Amino acid sequence: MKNRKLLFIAMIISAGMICSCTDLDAEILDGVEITNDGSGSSIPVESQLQTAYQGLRTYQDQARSHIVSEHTSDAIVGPTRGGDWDDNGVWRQLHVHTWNPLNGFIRDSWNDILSGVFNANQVLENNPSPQQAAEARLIRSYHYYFVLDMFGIMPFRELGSPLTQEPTFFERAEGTQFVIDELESIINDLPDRMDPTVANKDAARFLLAKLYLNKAVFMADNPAGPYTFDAGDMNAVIQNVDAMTNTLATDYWDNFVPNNSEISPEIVFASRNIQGGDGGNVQSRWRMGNHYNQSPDGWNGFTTLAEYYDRFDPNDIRINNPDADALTNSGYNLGFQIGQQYGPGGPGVGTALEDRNGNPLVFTKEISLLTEGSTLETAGVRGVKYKPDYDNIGSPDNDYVLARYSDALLMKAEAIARGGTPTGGDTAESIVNAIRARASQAAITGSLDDIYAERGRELWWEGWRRNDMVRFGTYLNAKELKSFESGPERVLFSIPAGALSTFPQNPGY
Amino acid sequence: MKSMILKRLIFLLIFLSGGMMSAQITVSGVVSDANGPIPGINVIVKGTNQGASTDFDGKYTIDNVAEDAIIVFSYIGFRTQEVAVNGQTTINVTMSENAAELDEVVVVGYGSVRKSDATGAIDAIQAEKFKEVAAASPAQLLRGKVSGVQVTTASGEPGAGVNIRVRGSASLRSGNNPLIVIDGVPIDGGNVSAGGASPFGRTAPRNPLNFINQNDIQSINILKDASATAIYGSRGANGVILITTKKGRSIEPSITFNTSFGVSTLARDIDLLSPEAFVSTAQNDPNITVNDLGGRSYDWTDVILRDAIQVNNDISISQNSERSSYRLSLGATSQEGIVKDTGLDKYTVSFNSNTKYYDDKLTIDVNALVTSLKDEAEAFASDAGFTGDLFSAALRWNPTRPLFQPDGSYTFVDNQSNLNPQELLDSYKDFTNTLRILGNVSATLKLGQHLEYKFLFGVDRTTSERKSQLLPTFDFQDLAVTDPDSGEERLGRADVSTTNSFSRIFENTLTYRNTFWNDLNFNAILGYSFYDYNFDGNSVIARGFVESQTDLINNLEGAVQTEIRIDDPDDGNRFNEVFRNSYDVQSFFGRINGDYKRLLYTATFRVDGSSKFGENEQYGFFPSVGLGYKVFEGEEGLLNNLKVRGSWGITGNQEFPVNSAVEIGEFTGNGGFATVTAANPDLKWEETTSFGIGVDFSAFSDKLSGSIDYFTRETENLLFIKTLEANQPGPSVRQFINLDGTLDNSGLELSLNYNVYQSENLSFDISANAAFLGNEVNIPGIFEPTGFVNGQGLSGAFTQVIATGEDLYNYFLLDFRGFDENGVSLYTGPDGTPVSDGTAVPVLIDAQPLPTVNFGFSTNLSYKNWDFNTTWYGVAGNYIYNNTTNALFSRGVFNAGNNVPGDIANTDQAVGDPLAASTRFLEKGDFLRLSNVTIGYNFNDAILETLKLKSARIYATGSNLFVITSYSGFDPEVDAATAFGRVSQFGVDYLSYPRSTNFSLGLSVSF
Repeated sequence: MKNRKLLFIAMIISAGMICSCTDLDAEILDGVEITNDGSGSSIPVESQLQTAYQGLRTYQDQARSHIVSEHTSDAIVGPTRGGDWDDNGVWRQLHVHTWNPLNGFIRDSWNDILSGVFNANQVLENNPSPQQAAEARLIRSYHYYFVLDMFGIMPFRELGSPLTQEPTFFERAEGTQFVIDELESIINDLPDRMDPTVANKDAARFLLAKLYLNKAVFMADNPAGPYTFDAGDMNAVIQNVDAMTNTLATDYWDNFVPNNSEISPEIVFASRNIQGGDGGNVQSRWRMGNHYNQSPDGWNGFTTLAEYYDRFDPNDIRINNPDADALTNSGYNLGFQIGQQYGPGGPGVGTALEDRNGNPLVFTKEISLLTEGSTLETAGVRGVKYKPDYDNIGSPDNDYVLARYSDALLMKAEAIARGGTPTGGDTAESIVNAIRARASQAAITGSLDDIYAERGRELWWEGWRRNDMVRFGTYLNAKELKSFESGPERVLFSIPAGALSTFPQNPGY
Repeated sequence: MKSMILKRLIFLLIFLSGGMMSAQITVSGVVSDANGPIPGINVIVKGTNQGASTDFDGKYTIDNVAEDAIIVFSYIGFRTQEVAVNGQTTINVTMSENAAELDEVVVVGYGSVRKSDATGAIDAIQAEKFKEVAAASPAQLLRGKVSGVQVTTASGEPGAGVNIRVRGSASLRSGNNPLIVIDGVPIDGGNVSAGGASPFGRTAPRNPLNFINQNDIQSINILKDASATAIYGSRGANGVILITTKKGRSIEPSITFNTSFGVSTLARDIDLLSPEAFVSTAQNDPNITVNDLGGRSYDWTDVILRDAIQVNNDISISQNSERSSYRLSLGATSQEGIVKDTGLDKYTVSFNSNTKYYDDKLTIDVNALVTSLKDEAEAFASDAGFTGDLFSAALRWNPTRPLFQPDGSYTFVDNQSNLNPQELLDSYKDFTNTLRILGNVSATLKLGQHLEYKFLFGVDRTTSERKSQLLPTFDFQDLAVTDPDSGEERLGRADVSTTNSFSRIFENTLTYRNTFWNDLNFNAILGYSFYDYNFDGNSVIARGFVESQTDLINNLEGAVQTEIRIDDPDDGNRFNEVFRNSYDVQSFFGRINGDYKRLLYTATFRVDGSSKFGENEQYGFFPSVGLGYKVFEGEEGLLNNLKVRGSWGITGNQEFPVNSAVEIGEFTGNGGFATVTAANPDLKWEETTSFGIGVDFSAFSDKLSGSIDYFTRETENLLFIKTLEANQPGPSVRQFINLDGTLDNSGLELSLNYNVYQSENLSFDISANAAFLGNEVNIPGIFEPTGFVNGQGLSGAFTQVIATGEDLYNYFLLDFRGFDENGVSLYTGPDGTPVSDGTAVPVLIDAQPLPTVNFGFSTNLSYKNWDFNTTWYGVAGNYIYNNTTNALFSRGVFNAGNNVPGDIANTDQAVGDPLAASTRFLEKGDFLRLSNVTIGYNFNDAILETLKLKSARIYATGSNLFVITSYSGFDPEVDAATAFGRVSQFGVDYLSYPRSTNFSLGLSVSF
């Protein structure tokens, strides 16, 4: 009797102990665990490389590094229009150089660019082929160029190190040398340029030319200057540009139309967008300035400045292209839009547009940081840098240009003007005028001032203006809507406040 | 001499072995209350597990009782009685209900004690008190009734989520709600209803207590301090709410039927300009160009609001016989929301039974609850942004502009910031259906006189599906997709998402009870539990439909484009795609407690291991100690009872998403493969060390009773997400880390109950409670923005920071100083003078959004068969940031042709003055709310006799009748239940679903 009772009790207790005592390992049911030690043979390197390429799309966004840096130059301003575009003053702060470490767009640029570096690292940690490794390193180097240019220090993670380990960083000079060495070592493993959206030898040469040209800036003891340009570096610039296989496109706008990568021999490296499919935010390049009542409608935000607009010949095709499609569908010329705007069909055919308050939609050159009154919505000259893809406005085909051959040629001209040895019979003047001739513009000299001005015209709104202004020493000067000279710390952006637990702040902030 | 010593020795021996050697007798008797014998009363020999339950006739018999033993008669809801046997063989007892507070039995983790024997801070609310409050959800029953517990509903929407804070906020992230345990089984408090996405933002989390019918609850017990909650280990840091459901009680089958019918309307309105006022204000101002002066009539409340009806019916049948008891209840609730086309329908079936076998040696308990919820919602996103949602569209609409054109079509202005509220209301549909099954079975086995073993197995299964659609006739920005075949642009969008969750719990406990030396009562419990949680889900978004399609939800294949990926980098939970996750928790726990004469003692420990924690930190240890001393007990005169108690303990919090400790990669759908979590193998629980002392007392012949508590809580290893910036180069997903430093909370709680007058026909009681709370952030080097606001021109703007040495969520704003002569806002500049040129910077303001005082009181008056109850609650010391006014109501907005309150239209503000986050929109949030007024009538015995009823009560209730506050927004209770970015949001008024005032009539009868 007692035994049976005990047995019964024991059975119940043991029944209670089933399904217990586990080892508590985390179970991953909907993904793949990444161990970062090269043993993950199930993780496809090609797919990781795809993700690394997609990281280059950040430059297409209107609130990330290319446009954010244009705001700090003399090329773009984002005025506050009453209730629109105040955003806690972040855009105005960029223009007048009063940003602080809490600025959200500087922070987002930092995060996007460095995540791009991380995604490239993931490829390198996963047994890539030599060409895959070279492509990932090129992508990483493109990102690192902008980190060096904008922030100075270069955050870095050893391959295979765990994510709980704090990242380290290179100082600006060391980082510059690191990227130069890296690019020189991968050139042979990169493919020739067939498709500019794939990393190629020409892209590596382009970046090397950029780095050698800016080496004096990146390695200067005082980031605000003065800079001493070494002749050897200038010759390296010329050498790299000469080795590139591109040619200038016959039509400037071939670089910015929906099928640009296919038809333009000038594009060195681009970020691919697929019509109707996957892509970045290249449509921001026409939406950011257009008014709500235009077609395609826009965000009525950014404009160029009067002094920047005045440096152009008003008929320069680079800013005034009477493209038939653009006139029919949008009612304006590609480039800068000024004056009365019209609906599809253009002047004389389309309706004269009005703003949301019933005032005529006339874009004026005059602009202020806080617009008001009758020009609240209309102040400022707008820009359309890429031709809208009228076949699919929301998901366009235009690939975003990351590097262009005319930029490389202008770099060669500048290198010659700064003491490099000319090659191939070119002089600074001949190169500058070849580029101007393509836009049917009259000849000018090849002085450094003229090269600087021509870079501002040829490469408007392409994300290089800030870098140029720093190198030519005009970045801190007073400009339109900023009547004072900025402090010398402003040649570098502040490191975002959230990163200061790991990285040191730039001096002066 | 020798024999004397021997005799004394023998006496000594007999004396020492008194407990074991005294004569054993059989004791029996009848237990009744005022109405007659009661079955099911627990009759236990104190210090043993020997006992019985009374039978049909209230009779009990216990064999082998020591002559000097004490017999305890107890049952939840009755006053416990102890009677010394003293050799008697017949002991009859009369039990009384309405126990004085200190004699109440309160449920603690894994057991129950009398409140007077508890060493922890525990509050209990019994079912009788619920009659006074017709609450939309059980969580609201607690409002204003329990000191130190603050209950805020996220909005006025039926079924909206609640924030329950016990003794302040100990966590920076959103895991601040207490653990909820129903009949001994912890339930997942997380969001089990499908989330998904719609064009109008995420849905707010739903209330986890939506699944229970208020009338099925017998008592709610709140465990507040560590000595009570530490036994729940890594989930007890925020307090524990124990809910006990009703069980069968009467001899004959008892049927209870409750019905109620109510109406709700908008509680408070804002004074927007009427059409006439709009026209005249606009005409008087030469700077404003206003469209559409037409003299039409428009009132936003007519367009989107209505008077809503609630109907609630439930019926239950229960019986308690000698060996078994059961209760079955069915409930159906239909609750319309005051916004048109919103509401919650709820159907519940609940069953429990308790059966004893083998001479009461084996007891089997079964509990089951099945709930089906049907939730209908509208386009409310708590968003006062550029596009906004239905609410902001209705407020903004120019009152002179007609909603319909003469040909019957909707007036269209633009597809971005001037949406037609009538068209949006008609074009948007959103349904969520949830089915939840909660069940558990337990077997309790008595092993000998002192030992008891219990095995519990519980299940919690939920399936939920959310379907929403926006018709293709509604033009809304960014919704257009191009049909690749025809090149046409198509509008319309439909979202379908499903979530399933399944959890199991196995628990084994061994309980030992004994009394030593007649004075030392000793209870011990040892347990092991295993908890397993699984959840998965998937979602689809379909875009681009032909215009004539009206049923998009059931015809997703008609879309141009379908997606199953919704990227939401702010949402740590990744609910919006296809996913499957699981985690386990296994724990060992134990407790000893009891009393020795006047000294009370409790000690608990728990060892918790979870697979969510990093592999380097998998187990946590959570001990606690509580001591109490009864200074006076049962004295006559001024001070009748006085007990002092103190406790210390460590509890934990593990509210972070699964798989935060490991690195996972996923295919991204466009050929890529990316890392989607950032591993942290050192990730562990948050730890809160609490210390508290308290006094429970009753005085003036038990007329006045109450408690005073002082506590401190220090939380370390706070769970937080590392900034992306600090982890670069790194994945573009955030890493969970534990912070250095601590978050400190401290406070004083008071609760009093005063029986003002008591006579046969008339009685009057007042209860009041108050809690004074304070906090401080002691985390080195933290300066985390929070309190993000949304609105046109405000993206990225924030109003609060978590900063070292400051209050939690301290406000950080531009300091507004008026307008300059041009109407541009002036803010304090870097040198202290007011400037309007854009150089002003935000500063720390001496204000914060968490109340420093929470208080409540209720009055209960009963006269003969009538009763009249009121409940009030309120807060003080907090400030609210009025995002609604900041974003929607400014001169610039008025200038663009939108409606604003009259005082805004007439300010000196310039039309182009930008909207910035400043102290202009910071208002005091103090309020006092009349939460409930109830009048009830209990039918008298004569009527009951004729109708053959056991009891009947008819009542009328008004809820949220008025609120006294200086806040200018819709309602001063604004805590959003969603977390923006990395931390919870408090104190920012995001224009959520408006709150309502409710009147209802009800009837309860039992047969």
